Order: sequence, then structure tokens, then C-alpha cells
Amino acid sequence: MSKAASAVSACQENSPNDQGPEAKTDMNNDDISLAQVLHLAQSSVETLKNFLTQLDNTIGDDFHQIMDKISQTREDMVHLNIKSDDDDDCPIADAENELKLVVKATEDATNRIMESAESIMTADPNDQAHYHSVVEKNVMDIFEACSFQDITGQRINKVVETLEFVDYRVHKIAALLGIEQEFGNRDFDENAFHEKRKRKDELILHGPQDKALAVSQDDIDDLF
Amino acid sequence: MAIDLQMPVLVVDDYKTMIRIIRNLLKQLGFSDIDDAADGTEALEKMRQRPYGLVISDWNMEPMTGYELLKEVRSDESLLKTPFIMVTAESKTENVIAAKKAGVNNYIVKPFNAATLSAKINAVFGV
Repeated sequence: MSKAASAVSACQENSPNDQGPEAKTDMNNDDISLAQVLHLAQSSVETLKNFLTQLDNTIGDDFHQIMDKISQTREDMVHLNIKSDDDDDCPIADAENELKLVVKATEDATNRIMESAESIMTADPNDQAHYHSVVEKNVMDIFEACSFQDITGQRINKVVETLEFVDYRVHKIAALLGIEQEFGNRDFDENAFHEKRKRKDELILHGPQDKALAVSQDDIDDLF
Repeated sequence: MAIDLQMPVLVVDDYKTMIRIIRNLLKQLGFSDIDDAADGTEALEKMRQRPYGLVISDWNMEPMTGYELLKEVRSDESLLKTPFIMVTAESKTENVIAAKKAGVNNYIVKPFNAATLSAKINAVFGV
């Protein structure tokens, strides 16, 4: 039995106005024939049946919409690519790694600059020629060490891009779940984002690599 | 053959700190005429106004990258012979190969030191 038919059946069984065929016969005995009563009852049942069928369709539509939203949410979650067992192509794991490399580069540069400064401080100023060469060498070392800022800057930009992407996806999921107001509105141009990614691929812009994955200067020199 | 230390050198990088570092390293190597640009577009404008003896460019810049600048330079009759060294953090083999195909004279991976810069400049000029 369909849901609508069950509802009609339940309605017929439980209606408070249903006082049985005897009551109906007593009430309008002179004016309404049994055939008319049956006709009215049949048309009422048809009307009720149509209403419940419509109601059934509405519920079906609602379920379809919920399924669509779940499917879209799932798709957004997939785009976030949060994986614990495999870090390849996972933007969050990449961002974590970039930040670790930033910390390491900053630490290395700081130590290098301090060591150079200490070398200058401990050089003997009475031996002018030696003192001059020590200062010159260590000043050059300090310049070189300062180049960490460029590389860490590029790494941090990559992390910022990842955060913007994650933020966008989370807001998209929030919007699908109807709770975007709790997250606040976000202006994010998805087309511009994809265009930027496409341009980066075309122009081979990967940013700084992990030392273990990067091609070394010696290997590059072999190509020239 | 000695390198002409008086020749104008153009340093292209969007990080002012990096420009400052390369400027100081070049000064240390004896170069005196050093100019700079913040991206490929500015560099191209400068190169069309004045001939440079050497261009040292970063790769990752906006709106015009160093790679795009290199291709522009190599497709411009008046600029195509300008020596061009890429100094970049882009250190994938495909980057190096693409730059070489586009006509780069040498390629330095950041971070680098004065000795590497000096060696690559010497190599470009056949010293």
C-alpha cells in the first residue's frame, strides 16, 4: 500500500466525525440518498488522495534537494583534499610543510648572520689587512643569508593561497548547509582563482621546492 | 677576455630585499652601473630605453614573469643578444629546461652565494 493510500485509510479509520452509516442515515434521511452520500464520500477520498499524492511529491523533492546538497558538500570536501594517509597533492599538508621550511630557513639565516657578526666582533683590529678581509667576507655572508626573506616570502604566499582556498570551500559548504551567516560573508572570485591556477601552470610557477625535491645547482650547471 | 665592469646591469626582482642583496653582491664583484626593475613589464620598458650589458632576473613576478620577459627579449630584434641570467627559487627541472629553450644564458637557484653569481657571470661572458 502506498503512503498516500495508508494515510487515507488511517484518516477514514480515525476520523472523529465518522459516526457510522446509521448516524448519517438518521441525520439527512429525507434530503440525501445513499448513492449521493457514497458519491460525496468517493469524491472526498479522491480529493484527499490527490492532496496526499502532491504532499508525497513535495517530500520527494525535498529529499532530492537534500541529496543534492549532500552531494555538493561531498564534492567540496573532496576539493579540500584532506587526507591523512597520503599527503601527495594535499594542500593542507603542503602548507604545513611550507611553514616548517620557513621556520627552518629563518633559523638558519639567523644563525648565519649571528655567526658572521661574532666573527667580525672577535677579529683582531690590530692586524688591519686580516681584519679588513674578515669584515668583507662576513658582510658578504650576511648579505647572502638575508636572501632567505625572498624565499620565505614566496613560501608564505603559497600558504596564504591555500588558506584562501580552504576558507572559500568551507564557506561554500556552510552556504550549502544554510549556516553561512554564522561564518560571515566572503568575497571570493572562483573564476579568478582558477584563472590564476591555470596561469601558474602555464608559466611553470611552482615556487620554492623542498631541498630534497629540488634540482641542485650542480645538476643545472650540467645543462649549460 | 675581461668583463666590462662599467656595463649597465639590470636586476629584476619583485622583492626589494633581493634587489638590494644582488646589488651589493654585484658591487662587491666590481660592477658600478646597476639598475633595477620590479617585474618583467618595467624591465622591458627600461631595456627599450637603454641598452643593458646584462640582465639578472627573478622568475616569479607579476604581472610579467621573468620567463615571459626572457621570451619577449629573445623575440625582440634589438634586445635578443642581451645576456640573460635567471636567478630564481623555481628549481624544478622543467623550469630549467623551459628557460634554456627560451634562450637563457645561465640559471641560478636561490639561495645562492657571491661565488656562484660570479662564476655564472664569468661563464656567460666566456671568462
